[in-house]
Amino acid sequence: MDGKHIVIVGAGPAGLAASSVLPRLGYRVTMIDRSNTLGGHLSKWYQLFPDRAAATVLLEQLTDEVPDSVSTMLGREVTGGSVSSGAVELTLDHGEHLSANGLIMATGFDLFDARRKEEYGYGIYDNVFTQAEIEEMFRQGQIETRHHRKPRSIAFLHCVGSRDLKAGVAYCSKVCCVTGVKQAIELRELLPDAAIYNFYMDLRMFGRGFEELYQQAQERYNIRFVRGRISEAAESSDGSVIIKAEDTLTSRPLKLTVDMLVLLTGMQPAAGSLELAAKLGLVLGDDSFLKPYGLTQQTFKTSYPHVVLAGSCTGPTTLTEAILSGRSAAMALHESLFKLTN
Amino acid sequence: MKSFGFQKIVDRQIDLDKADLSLVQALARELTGWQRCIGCGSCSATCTAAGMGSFNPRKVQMLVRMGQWDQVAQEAVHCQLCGKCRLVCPRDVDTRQLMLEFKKLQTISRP
Repeated sequence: MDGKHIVIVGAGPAGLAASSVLPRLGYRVTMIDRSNTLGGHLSKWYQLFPDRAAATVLLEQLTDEVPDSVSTMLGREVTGGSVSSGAVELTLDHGEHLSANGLIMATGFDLFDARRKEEYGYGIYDNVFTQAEIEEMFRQGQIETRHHRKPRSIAFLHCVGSRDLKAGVAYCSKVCCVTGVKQAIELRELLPDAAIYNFYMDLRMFGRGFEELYQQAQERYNIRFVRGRISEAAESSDGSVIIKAEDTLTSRPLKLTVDMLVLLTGMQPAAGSLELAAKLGLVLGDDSFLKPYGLTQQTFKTSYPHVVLAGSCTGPTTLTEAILSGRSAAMALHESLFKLTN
Repeated sequence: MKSFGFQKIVDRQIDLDKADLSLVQALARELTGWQRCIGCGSCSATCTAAGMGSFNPRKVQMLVRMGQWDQVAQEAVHCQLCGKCRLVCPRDVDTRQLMLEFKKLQTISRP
């Protein structure tokens, strides 16, 4: 639109999707990210749920869609900013200044810090991992314990930093359920003889193909599902991890020794997102994620007509939702700017 | 001699039509938080008494919701009030306090 300038903060799936839409509508677009790479968390994935598509292929598709005219600033941080009627002013590290007509917050999420649930021993015991580390092992094509041994038994624990009032996280991070099932299946393919467990409170298989993946995990991949949250873990002298839970379906306490315990950590607002929101005066919800105008309608809008929200900065989202919301937020901003000038 | 013949089988069905749910309301006036329980079993996993018998704090909480007060009172006596349940609960339920109330219930119903 007549060379109006839009800044997108965040170059993850939502930011990339937004930046593929806006230049074609005539906007000059600048995309900024703290990280030195495009794709945000997507760049750390191996295969995606539910169809186990290669993450690199999706990332390539998303980046290919971004026109060359988009000015991409990687490894850069927004250190200050203000929003006034019709304008957004941002200061970057090195003191650089950006003036824009519109802003898209695509500032994403951070993974919950598993060390905060000390009872599971992450960062204390050798063989307690997070799903992010397992995903990285898949990328390297090698699953092994911290002592470089092939694991004979692995347990996933769902809802670490999700639905946990003690950790200040009341909400459900929603994608960890299916991630645990996906990773269990992938592990089975690499370790045909290992015992693989999923400890869960509820399995929320809401997306298309999710429930089917769960069923495959049960039937075809021999993944053992235990309905009970692990109350605590301990390390044994050989480095294995002893876990305690209740098998709530037989109402009996349960003990299990595994070579690896994998914590499925939830999403929390990105630290950078919170910092920038504070600087710009954007409103947060009770869950500390950025609060849009509505939760069913106008989910991209803020109290400023020229500032919109995209992706997981508004709460846990799937990749599909992040990409869709990036495109939708771009359109919402376009409509808003159009109304302001016409 | 081996006993022979028919035995009366106790009906295990929870009869929600007849269950006394008014006590659930009464309990809710006394104590809050227990309604948040999602039955994850963390309390039962860590429970000192559960390891030594059939006591199951998660199940007691579920029996409360079903108005099974006789069973609740019978079960609660096994609780040793160590409070570990409270430490591990993700929903911040004070299960120990709940059990203490049920122990009182037992004393009242069987003086």
